[in-house]
Amino acid sequence: MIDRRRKSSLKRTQQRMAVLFILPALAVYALFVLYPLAMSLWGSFFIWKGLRITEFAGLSNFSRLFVFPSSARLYGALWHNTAWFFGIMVFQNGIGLLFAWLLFLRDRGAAFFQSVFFFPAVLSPVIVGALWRLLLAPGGVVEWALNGLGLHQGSLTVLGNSHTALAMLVAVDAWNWMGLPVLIYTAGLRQISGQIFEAAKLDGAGNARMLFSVALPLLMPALGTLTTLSFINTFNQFDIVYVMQGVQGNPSYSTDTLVTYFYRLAFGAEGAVGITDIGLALALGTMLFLILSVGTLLMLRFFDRRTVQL
Amino acid sequence: MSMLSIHRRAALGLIGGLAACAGLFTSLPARADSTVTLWSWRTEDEAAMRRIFDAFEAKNPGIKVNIQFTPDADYQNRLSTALRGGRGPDIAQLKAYGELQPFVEAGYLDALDESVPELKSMPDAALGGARGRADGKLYGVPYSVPMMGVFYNKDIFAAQGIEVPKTYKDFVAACDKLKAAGITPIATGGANGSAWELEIGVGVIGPTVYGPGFYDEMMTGKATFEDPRYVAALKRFAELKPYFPDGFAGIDYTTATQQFIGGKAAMFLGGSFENGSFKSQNPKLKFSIFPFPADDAGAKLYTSAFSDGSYGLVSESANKEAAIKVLDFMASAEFAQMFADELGWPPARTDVTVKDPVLAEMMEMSKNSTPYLTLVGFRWQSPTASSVLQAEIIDMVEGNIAPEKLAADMQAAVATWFKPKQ
Repeated sequence: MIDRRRKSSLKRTQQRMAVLFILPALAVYALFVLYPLAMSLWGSFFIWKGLRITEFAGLSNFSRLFVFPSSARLYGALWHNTAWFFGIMVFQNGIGLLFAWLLFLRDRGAAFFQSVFFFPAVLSPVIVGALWRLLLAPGGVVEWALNGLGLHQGSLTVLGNSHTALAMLVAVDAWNWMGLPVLIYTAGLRQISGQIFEAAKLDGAGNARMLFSVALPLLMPALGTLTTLSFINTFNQFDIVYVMQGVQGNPSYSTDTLVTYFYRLAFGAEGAVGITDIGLALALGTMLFLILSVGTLLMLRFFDRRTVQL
Repeated sequence: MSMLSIHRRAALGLIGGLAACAGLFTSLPARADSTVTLWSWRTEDEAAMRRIFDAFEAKNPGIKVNIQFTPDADYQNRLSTALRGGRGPDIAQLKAYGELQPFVEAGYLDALDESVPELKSMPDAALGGARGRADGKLYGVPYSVPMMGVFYNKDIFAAQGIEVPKTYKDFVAACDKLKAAGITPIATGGANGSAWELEIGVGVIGPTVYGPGFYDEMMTGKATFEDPRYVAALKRFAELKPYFPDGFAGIDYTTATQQFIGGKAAMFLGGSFENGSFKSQNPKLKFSIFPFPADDAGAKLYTSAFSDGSYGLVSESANKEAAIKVLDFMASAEFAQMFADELGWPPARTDVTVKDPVLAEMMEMSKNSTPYLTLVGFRWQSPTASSVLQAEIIDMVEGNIAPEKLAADMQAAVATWFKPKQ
């Protein structure tokens, strides 16, 4: 009896100590994460005149988001973010999986290729964007190469064309982070017991069959991580658009994202001039926060259920 | 080299340094100084502004002007953050028209109608940009009224035997001649967020197509952006596409200016503020400016003009008396003269003697001016006509959307807030 009581009091002091140790970190977190988050939520319920909060507005900022002219920008940006997400899923995570599979099949030189694929991820997206902007500009290297190969004629204006600009940015983004899925998938593949692949091979499965029917279900945790990360990153997409197309998401808003729209509203670039609409910006920010949290939770649950345990 | 000589050099250097310090101390005035801080985004004008204020300080021994520069891209943010936190300057450079209003509405600025009497001798084209929209009071001392026209390379024109075009037909013929000679006729581009330069292109062409009275018709609601005259202006801009650089849709403002400055392109559609920067980037470039020609040879050629910005008094300044003296100087004819001489773009006041030939040309053009429609008339509230125009104009020039559609989108955007003055 006495022993147990002593133990529980010891536990309590330990817990108290733990809380004490967490406090500084918690204070920093509250100050720099929770407080701004709460403030921006609070601010989204008010009318802002210039730079000052004036009167309570209820949900009018939120409803204003869905009315012309804001609705056109909002739906446009939502669509671009969604298209960007699927683009990344196919061109970054999909091709990344194929690369990882090929590296897994051919063990020799795998480490070398892995670092080759991973290299662009070392560079900041701002640098990557600036680099590709130069390469893809009229008179740039890509134009020269395509003209030389006879694949294209005249000057290359893919970044100035509203039909192709978004796809170009997605491709640049995929190029930038291609190393990440390769790295995570190879790690995942190496963790799968070799006996499983051997058994599949004995049953007559080819390489493609082994990838899709054997490896992929076992790679669910890796796929889940990558999908969630890609979702968060694409819906927060800003730097590549900013560097390559400007904060207006040129041309014709064809590369506009939720965050570039937020930036324009909050920092006064929506009218191509410094007129801010902070209330609307905060409402948009709150909505983005909701989309991201709900989306992330749903995805984590979805992949958790599909994880195969052996 | 021996040790001794090194020591001697060091000693001499030290003495020299001390002498310099002593010189600094003696040059300080004996009276207690009043330092006026002034914020500006025109980093490129730093040396010129310094010289102008040196002249002011020499005449006003009690006042020092401390100019601080923040690059344009960060300026509005820095200023608004500072004002909100009560740590702003005494005098702030302010953007014009709609961009001024948030500062006025938030009460960060003092009206200057009474305190700066020199404002009364400034033309209305200059003052319009510094007016508070709600109360009509003046919140800044304007410094420049830029206008827009066609910059051209005089050497290329001479070599190709081209005269300054008198009609639109002449202009197109000149472009064809240049193109045949392998020279890009018009350097322009608006990729990567510099579509404001294309909007300026429309500003250059607009008044000669829709006429000088169009601005008033727009303001009173008699005309809209969907008016055939405005659509015709957009069409004329799109028609010039064959004379724009190859790959125009992917070229940005910096590249376009470099094409003109480097002599690869013969013309550039731009605002007055390019004068000084063209000159400083290539002092050898021989260029001038002409108003965009109209269809008829005899027509009076109108050009778009606007107030570029102003200098305002921050309400929370602890140094208002001295700051007002500085502002009064900035509103004077003396300042306007120095501004014209040092910076080469049209000053806010017109009572100046002009030495720079390009500036003289511009001052002549500004006699027939009409407000820069999308800026002066429609940048008061978001979405602005400019935001739509800048976003869609490349697509219009490339033929992806019709000029009518662009005009309709502009009208729909401003109709959400624009109430015409009846």
